[in-house]
Amino acid sequence: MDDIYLVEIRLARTRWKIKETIVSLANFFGVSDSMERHPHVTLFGPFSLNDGISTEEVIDQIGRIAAPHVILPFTIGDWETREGLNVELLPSQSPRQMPSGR
Amino acid sequence: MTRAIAGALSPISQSYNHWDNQPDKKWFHVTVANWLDPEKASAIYAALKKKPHENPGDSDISPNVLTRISAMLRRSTVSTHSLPSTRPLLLDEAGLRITIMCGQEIFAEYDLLRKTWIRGDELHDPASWQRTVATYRRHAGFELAQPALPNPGDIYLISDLHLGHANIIHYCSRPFIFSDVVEMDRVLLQNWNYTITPHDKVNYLGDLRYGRDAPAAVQYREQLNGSITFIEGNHDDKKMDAVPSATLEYGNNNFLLIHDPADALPSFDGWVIHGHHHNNDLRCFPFVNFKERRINVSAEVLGYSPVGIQELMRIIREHECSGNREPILLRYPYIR
Repeated sequence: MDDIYLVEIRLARTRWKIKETIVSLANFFGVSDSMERHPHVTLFGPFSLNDGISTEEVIDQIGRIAAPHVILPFTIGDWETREGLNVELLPSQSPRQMPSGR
Repeated sequence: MTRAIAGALSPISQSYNHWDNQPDKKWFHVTVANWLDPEKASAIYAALKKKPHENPGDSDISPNVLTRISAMLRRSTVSTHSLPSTRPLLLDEAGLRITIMCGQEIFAEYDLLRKTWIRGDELHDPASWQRTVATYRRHAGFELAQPALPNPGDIYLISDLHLGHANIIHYCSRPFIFSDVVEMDRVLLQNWNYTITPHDKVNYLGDLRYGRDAPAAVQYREQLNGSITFIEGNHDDKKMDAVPSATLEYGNNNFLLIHDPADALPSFDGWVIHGHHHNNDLRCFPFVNFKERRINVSAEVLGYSPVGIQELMRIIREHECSGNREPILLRYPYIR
C-alpha cells in the first residue's frame, strides 16, 4: 500500500474547546468510536503520490503556495451534516499521533 | 489557497477525496464524527439543530426528544451523560501551520508566520509551538509591542483578566500554550500598562484573578497603571474595595458598568457595559450588541487590551448613523 498523505490545518487556540465539545457529544450520543480525535480542517487529500514523485516535491509545492500567506483566519460557527462518502474507502486507521505541547 | 494546492498536487498525486476535484466548492469543516449510520446521524443532527427554547435550559434535552433519540440510537448509554449545549460554538480561529500528514504521523509542518518548515524532533517540541503562538499574538495585536499614544481624558474599560488562572487558557481559547500562566500574566499586565498611563481612569469590571495558586489581587493591583474603579466580579475577593456597579455619562450616553449583565435592572435604558461571559457566547454577548444595547468588555473579546470609552462612542455613532444594527462579535478583525 502506498503512503497516504493529507494536507490540513490543525486547530490552534480553539483545539481544547472543540475537542471537549466533540468528546461530550460523542459520549452523549454513544458514538465515541466514530468521533474525530484530532480536530483539523482538511485542505487536500487524502492522497497518494504518483510513481516517481517524491515527498520533497510536495513540500516544495506547499511551501511555495503557503509562503505569501501569514495566517489563515476562519470562524467555527454551526452544525452541519453531509450524507454519503466524500472519500473513497481507505485502509482502517489507528489513532493519529499529535506533537506534544499542544 | 485550496485551489492553488489542488492545482499543484493534482498532477502529481491521486486524491481519494472527491472535493479535491472541485476546490472552489470545497466543504471546510471540523469533523465531530464520521462513518455514522445514516439514521443515527440524522437523529443526532436533528437534536443539535433544535433551537435553545426547544431544549429547556439549553443544557438539557426534553424527555420526549430524548426518548425518540434513544430509540434511534443503538447504544443504551445515552441517558448516562448530560447533553452539552446544543448551541454550536462560535469561535474565531487562525490556522498557523499547514500540516502534511503521512499515514498517522505528522510528516512536516509549514509555519505561516515564521516562514519555515518544521520537521523531525521540532514537531514534538513544545517550545517550538510556544514560539509560533507568541509570534501569532504579536501579529494579531494580542500582545502589544510598544506603549500606545497617550489619550488624556479617555476612560478605559476591561474585565475578566483572570490573572493566574491556567485553565482559562483552555476554557476561553486564549493564545497561549496551556499552563503558561506566567507568560499570560506578563502579556496581560504589559498590554494594560502599554494602554493606560498612571494618570488615566479605568473601570475594571470584575474577576481580576482566579485560582488557589494565583497571587493575591492586591499584588496584581500594584502592577497596574491608572486610577482604577473595581466593580465586583463573582470570583473577586472582598479586599479589593469593589463596588457592585457604576454608572458613566459620556457624550450624551448613559452607561451602566456591571460584571454580569443579568444583574442590570431591566428599567435601565442606556448601554450596559459588562464582562462575565468572556467569549463563551458571542451570539448573545458579542463585543457590541446594538439591539440589546450591551457591550462586552471581557478580555478575550477586546483582544486582551483595555478599550477607551471614546472608541466605544465612535463605534456607536458610526453604526447609529449607518443604521447598521448587526452585532460586532469581536473588537479585532475576524472572518464570519
